[in-house]
Amino acid sequence: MAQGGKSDEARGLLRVLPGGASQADHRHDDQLVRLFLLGDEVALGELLRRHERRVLALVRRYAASPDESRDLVQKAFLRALQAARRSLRRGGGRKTVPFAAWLLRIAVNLGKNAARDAARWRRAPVEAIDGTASAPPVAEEGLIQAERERLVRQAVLALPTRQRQVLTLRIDAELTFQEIAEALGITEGNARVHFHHAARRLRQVLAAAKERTP
Amino acid sequence: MTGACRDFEVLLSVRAAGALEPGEPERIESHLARCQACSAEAQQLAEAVGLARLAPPAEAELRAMDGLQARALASWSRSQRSRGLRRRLAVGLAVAAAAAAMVLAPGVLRHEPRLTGGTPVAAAWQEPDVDEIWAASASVDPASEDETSLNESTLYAVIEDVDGF
Repeated sequence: MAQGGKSDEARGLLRVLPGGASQADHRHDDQLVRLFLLGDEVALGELLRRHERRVLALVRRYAASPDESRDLVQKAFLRALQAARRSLRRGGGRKTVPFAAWLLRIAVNLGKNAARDAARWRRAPVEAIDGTASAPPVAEEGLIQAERERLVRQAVLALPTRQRQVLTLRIDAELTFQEIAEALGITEGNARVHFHHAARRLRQVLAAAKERTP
Repeated sequence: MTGACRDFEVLLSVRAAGALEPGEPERIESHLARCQACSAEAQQLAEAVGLARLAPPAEAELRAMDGLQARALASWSRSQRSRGLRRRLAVGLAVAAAAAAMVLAPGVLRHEPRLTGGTPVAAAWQEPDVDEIWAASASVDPASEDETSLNESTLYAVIEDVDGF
């Protein structure tokens, strides 16, 4: 496992090889990627079936509509496959990254790019998708709670990149810290500390909101 | 908050994430039972992380994912075609550039302008008088290593030699 802080090493080259939590899963991903690159369209279907829900969970925070979520999922898969093709053509690199880890890293970075679009995230896209959140609260308590939720989710998008990546890989994609560390090329302890800083920042935002509207 | 509490700082956040590892829940719950400050902190962290969590995907989001495979395949095919075109274009341009270089290189090298003190002198360049060069070279001391070191009097002497040749 690579140590954090060295971006070129952390980025590495994709080499679709067994590794991570389940060796069998990753070996199958490897075979599927190779088959797809050789023209087997069914292999892509299997890769989508395995990973699309987790990728969707990661990108939907940044999407303004269900269609945009789907487009971000598609983009993440295609970029991961393009990276796989480049890596396989080069014969792999010093570092080996399982396909799933590479895919999640791309997905979370697509989110980062979307987060840069300030106008987009100020529209609080999640509320536009989530039917329960968009329903008008009937009581003042509900209004206050909805406002706090909006502020905290907005604060998530304003977190430093690494903190946001770790936080969303945990609470959106529900990865373990070990899987997060593998996906981002950092240590598990480092991932925990980044999560801690992110959570503290959100707690501060929430505390400030409570001071304004006790 | 005491020094011991600092040991639990990260664990409180990990607890809020619901990602404690075996052995950790016992340690932290034991501390929280004794420490009011950490207990309040744990509650606030859990609330903040809870607010950051999204609701599960709505039906509309899941429906939008239908047909993803067909869309992805179509997009992949388009990117492959444009990649092939780009590659052929790049090869064509490279061949054309190489051919152009082969045709133009001799002419460019023959008429390459000389620089004097950093200023191009191409506009003032004239065809050299071969006879004059021949005469001058015949008069210059062959031991002289640097023809450009000729001073003005030497040059006049060369000219006089030529006239008297």
